[in-house]
Amino acid sequence: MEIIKLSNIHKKYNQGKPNEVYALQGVHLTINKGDSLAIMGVSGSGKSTLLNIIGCLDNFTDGEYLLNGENITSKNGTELAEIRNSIFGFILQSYGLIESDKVINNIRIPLLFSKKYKSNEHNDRINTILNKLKIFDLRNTKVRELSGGQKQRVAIARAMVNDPEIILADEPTGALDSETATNIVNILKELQQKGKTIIVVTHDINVANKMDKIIYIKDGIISDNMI
Amino acid sequence: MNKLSIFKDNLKSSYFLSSVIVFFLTFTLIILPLCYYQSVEHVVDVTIDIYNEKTADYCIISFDDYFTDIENITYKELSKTFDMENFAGIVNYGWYSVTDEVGNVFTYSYNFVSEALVKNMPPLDFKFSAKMPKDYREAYVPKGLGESYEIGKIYEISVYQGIYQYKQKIKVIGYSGNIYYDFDRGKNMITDMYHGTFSNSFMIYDNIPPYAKVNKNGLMINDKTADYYKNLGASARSLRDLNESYQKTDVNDVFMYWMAALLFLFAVVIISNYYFMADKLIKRSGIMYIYGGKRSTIIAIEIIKMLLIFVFSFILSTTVMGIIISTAYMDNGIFIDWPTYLISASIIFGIYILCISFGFIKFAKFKPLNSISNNNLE
Repeated sequence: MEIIKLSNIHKKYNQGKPNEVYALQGVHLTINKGDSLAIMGVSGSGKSTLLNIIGCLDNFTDGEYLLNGENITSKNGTELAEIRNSIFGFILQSYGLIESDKVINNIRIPLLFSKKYKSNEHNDRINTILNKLKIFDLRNTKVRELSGGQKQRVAIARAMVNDPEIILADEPTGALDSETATNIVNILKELQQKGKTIIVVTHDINVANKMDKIIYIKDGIISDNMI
Repeated sequence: MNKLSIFKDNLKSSYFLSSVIVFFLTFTLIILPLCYYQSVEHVVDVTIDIYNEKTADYCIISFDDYFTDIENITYKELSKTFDMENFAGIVNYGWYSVTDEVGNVFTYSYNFVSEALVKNMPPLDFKFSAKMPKDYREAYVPKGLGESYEIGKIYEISVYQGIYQYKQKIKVIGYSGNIYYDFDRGKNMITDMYHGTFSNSFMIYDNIPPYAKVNKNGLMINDKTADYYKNLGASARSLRDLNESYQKTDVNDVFMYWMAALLFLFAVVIISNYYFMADKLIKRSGIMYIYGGKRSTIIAIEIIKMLLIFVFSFILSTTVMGIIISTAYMDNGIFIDWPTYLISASIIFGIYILCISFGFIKFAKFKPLNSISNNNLE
């Protein structure tokens, strides 16, 4: 079942200006529910732009994007915000955590905007996720006191807390040693086994090889689909 | 979307900055009005008790500067220069001492009430006859001497001033201790001006003896100007001028400099704190945007927070100001009032909005994707 379908997606930055940049040039991509996909490419190739468009964080210049069969182009800001909250779970580059805040408060952020979970369910939901990721004891620890692996688990917990259908991960192992990176990838694979769709942007071929599919982007074009 | 939860999260994430702003805002909201009040002339709702259209042009006069040796200012001496028949005042002329059975000594003063005062001013609590009786003089005696002096009876007393001692018959028409004119009170009292009580005094309505020492202020009841008396060597001011001076607070430029310094400091603190804090807010808001926050909601909540910070500080400072104003009226006279406070608070609100706008504009222009790229967030 198709969960994401991108057709002829173009993305230009600074459109119409002298410094116009073509980030994506006619991308076609179909991802089925429960798939895991790695997006690879050199820096500036457009892979993060693609991930942002998939995650409804960025708009595109031309083309069509169907998410669960619905055309994203017609959605307004409020609807896109709801989609980001309910359908996607983002694991940001370099964790993207608020270092001065406690683990529990970092994980709570998606729930602040959630329609799925009521306020009185938030703590239970957070505790469940913390237990699953084996970081329950760290819930009241400030993020700045955690190791890299622990931070990434917190980032994953935040991405999972709202029970999204799709996990988008931007360089999830970039700042980790190989053993910790393997653990993180295993967590992502476990999520996939539970029905989540996993899309990972990575430079690490070992991580990419653990995914079902790999695509390469070069100069905004998918150069070799479905390897 | 639970906006209250988002607001609480916002406040929690910026509690230190918010606390600093609340503290400094409250401090400024209290101190600035106090400085402002001293720096700007204000009309005070106080009128001299004896002031009216009839008395407005009368001159308050003091002979303090006329002679270097104030003890020697006698009525006779003054009469050579001044039109003392117009002098409305009360002049002390000697003392009367009584020793009781156990040896306690009680001293009372003899005061003469001038004819101009009795004839031209409202009687208040002292009801002398406008025309002096031929055989005696009307007098109020101290309450403490009530057993010795009965109302309605005539007594002979010895009014003395050294070699100028003389006898006088008085008819007791009441006991002193009630409200009457006391022009000396006007020197340092703002309320109840020019009214006082003479509780330990004989108050005798009679022509002022030539050798009475006139070292008190009085009112010149005629159409002479203050300049006229100044040219004769006395201190003088029309009651109108004096009343107007009481209705205006003194202006103190030093407070204006303090006010300017305080406002400058206030602006620097608010701008610098909020401007640099905006980076943290931007990063946090970027994360919120990614996880389902709407830009407009995030920005609106930030505006509401900053306005609530002002409201909270305003309430705090209003409470403190209420205490200051009520205490100031009781103890020290007026040095701050509500209109001044509200004007100052409006000025501070304007400056506050201006100061936070630098950081706020920076924040409101945040680009979610840029705000989180390659950064861990503090």
